[in-house]
Amino acid sequence: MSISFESISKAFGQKQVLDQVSFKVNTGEILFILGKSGMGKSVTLKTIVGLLKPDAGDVSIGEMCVTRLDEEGLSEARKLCGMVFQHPALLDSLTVYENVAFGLRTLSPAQARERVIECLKLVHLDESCLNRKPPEISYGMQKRVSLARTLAPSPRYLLFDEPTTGLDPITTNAINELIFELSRKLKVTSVVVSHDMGCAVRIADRILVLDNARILAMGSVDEIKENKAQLIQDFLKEAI
Amino acid sequence: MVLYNLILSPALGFIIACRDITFILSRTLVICLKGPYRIREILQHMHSIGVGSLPIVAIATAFAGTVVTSEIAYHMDAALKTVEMIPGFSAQFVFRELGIAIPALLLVAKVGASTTAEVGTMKVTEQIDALRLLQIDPIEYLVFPRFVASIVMVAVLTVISIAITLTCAISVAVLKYNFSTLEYLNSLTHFISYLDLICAVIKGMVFGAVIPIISCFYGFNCTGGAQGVGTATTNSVVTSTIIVIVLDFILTFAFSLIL
Amino acid sequence: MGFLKNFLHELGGMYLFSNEVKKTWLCNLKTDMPLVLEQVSSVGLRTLSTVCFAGFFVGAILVIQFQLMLSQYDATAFLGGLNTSACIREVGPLIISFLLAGKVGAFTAAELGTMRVTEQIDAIRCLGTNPIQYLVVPRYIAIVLSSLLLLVFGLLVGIVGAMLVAGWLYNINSLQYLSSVPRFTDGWTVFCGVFKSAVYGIIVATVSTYKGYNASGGAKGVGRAVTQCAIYTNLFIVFANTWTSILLDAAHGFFKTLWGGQF
Repeated sequence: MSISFESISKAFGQKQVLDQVSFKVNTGEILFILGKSGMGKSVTLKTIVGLLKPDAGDVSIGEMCVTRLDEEGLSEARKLCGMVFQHPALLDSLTVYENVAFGLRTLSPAQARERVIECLKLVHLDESCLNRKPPEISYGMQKRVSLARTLAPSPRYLLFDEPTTGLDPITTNAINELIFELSRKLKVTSVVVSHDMGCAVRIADRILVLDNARILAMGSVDEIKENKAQLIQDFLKEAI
Repeated sequence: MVLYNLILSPALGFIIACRDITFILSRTLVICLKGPYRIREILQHMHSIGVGSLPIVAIATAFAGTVVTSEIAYHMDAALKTVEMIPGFSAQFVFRELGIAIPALLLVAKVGASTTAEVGTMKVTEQIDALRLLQIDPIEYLVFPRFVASIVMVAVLTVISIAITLTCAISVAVLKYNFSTLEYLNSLTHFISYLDLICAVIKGMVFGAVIPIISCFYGFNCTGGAQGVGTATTNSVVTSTIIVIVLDFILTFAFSLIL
Repeated sequence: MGFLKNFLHELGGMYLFSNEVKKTWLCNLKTDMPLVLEQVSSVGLRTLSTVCFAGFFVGAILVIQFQLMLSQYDATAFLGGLNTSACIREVGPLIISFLLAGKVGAFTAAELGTMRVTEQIDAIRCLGTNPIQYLVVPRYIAIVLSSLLLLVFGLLVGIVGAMLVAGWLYNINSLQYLSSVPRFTDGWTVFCGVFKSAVYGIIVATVSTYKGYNASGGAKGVGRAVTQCAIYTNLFIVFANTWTSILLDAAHGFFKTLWGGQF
């Protein structure tokens, strides 16, 4: 069950953000999408999960063609995908428990509680924060709760939108290790959008670099390291 | 604990708010006397308040004026069986209440909300701190120009809206109750004096003074990102509306003793 | 011209949005009762004191103005009736709903706008819930219901307040004040007041949820959404005032011809 992105084009007004971009994400791998800010990375993720509709092209998750689905069909597709947003995007009026349990409406209260605690354990949080509200916990904790919320419905695909932007180096490392651990432990397919080449080099299986609405390079970490393009070399310099 | 949360805390908050607002007001008045005057900013704000709000105020007062006048006239006619009071009554109501309250409340929404949103966003994105570091007093740069512009423009808009509402009132009287325009204008001179116009302008100026002070106060005290800006703007609109209503009552009562 | 184009664009957007809300509500009637009730109680509690406060002052202002005008014709006997009627039919719903536009409307626009710009609405969609069903419908229904109740309550406070002020300032005792009321107000007057309150409630609900839900652009976007909500709500209330008055007058005339004296 892979994600396939076929000749996707998307423009916002005059600005062409994606131009005939095609790639495939294989089952169980971690794909990093890199590029400078504003180069269409978040748009890519939102198109996969149907929050944005492309101007041309098709996106398929497994057998389902996401671009052809209506809102109800998308609901089904989204049960397989979990997206972690750039900001924690926790619901401020609900407690941590209620936030994480949000996607678990179909379970009984007892089952939901078990699952919530399990997911919080996966992101290295304990039960003490269950009854607190998002404004009462630190930003790093909010990011982890947001990750737990995404994991709760057991998605097969995880999409991360700049998970470590704006975090201190220690928390950044923690989040990166979490992504790697989850991907291997839960055998999910992960697509991570970032401009942190250092993370990519450490945990990605494949890297895709976007520049000027097109794919500049795609391949394994070693292949990217060999690539002579200026942008990639600049990115790599920062990573080291 | 309950006592603190229910009574002391809000009371304390209220007192602190009064203190801050008084501070902003007094500082603004000091700048009125001593300068610097920032003429360019004042003119900019006058343009945005005056020209920006004119279409909305004009249309709204035209609509409101027509309806309220015809309702009052309907009452005079149906309940008292007399139509002779209509011109005088409607003209007085327009001058003293309608032509002033409606534009004031619309401007609270337009000017008050947008000012709080703007200043609040500046606070949240640390632009106000940046101003302070550049040795610029935020009150002098943000509050004072809006204060002057608002007083002048709200008074002007009040006069314009009285004119528009009066026109609508005349139309209602002429079209529905068969008065002639001349008759109406005659009764106008009987029932309205220069004093009425002056009182209306004073009311307009007072409302115009209040709106920027309150909205900038909420903007300066805005905290917490997007949510904070939303909360501050909401509270600003609500407080300004209430204060305008209360001031309207006080001024109406005060003027009723003179007129 | 730009102003007109923007205005029509907004109007169209709100119409489509409210259709969407209605459709979502009708498809999911039973599921979200607790959410609706929660919203109603929070809106109601938040605004009750403000509405009473405003109602009192509006009634008081009208008493002073009318007293001034009626005394010129020696017609002060009619103060009670005229004031009550004007308050219920016209000025009361108008001013109090301006306040609701602020307290309830701006608050809802701010709340939904913040959720939109911090991607909470996208998160809800990703977790398989329809955000319009979860967020908008309960708030919409709550605002319409509470607006109706609050406006009616505010009008009552206004009438009582006016009576008290008349007694305090002009020594008109309550019985004297109330004696002229039946001449000016009847069942139809009350119906007019309630009908207008319902219409204004729908306007506040539609504009505030639309503006909040479609906010964009960070803190600035939230500010902009709230500002535009305040402006458009007030504007539409003024327009609706005209149209409902015309409509109600026409209806009154129609019923009168049909049923004669009763009306």
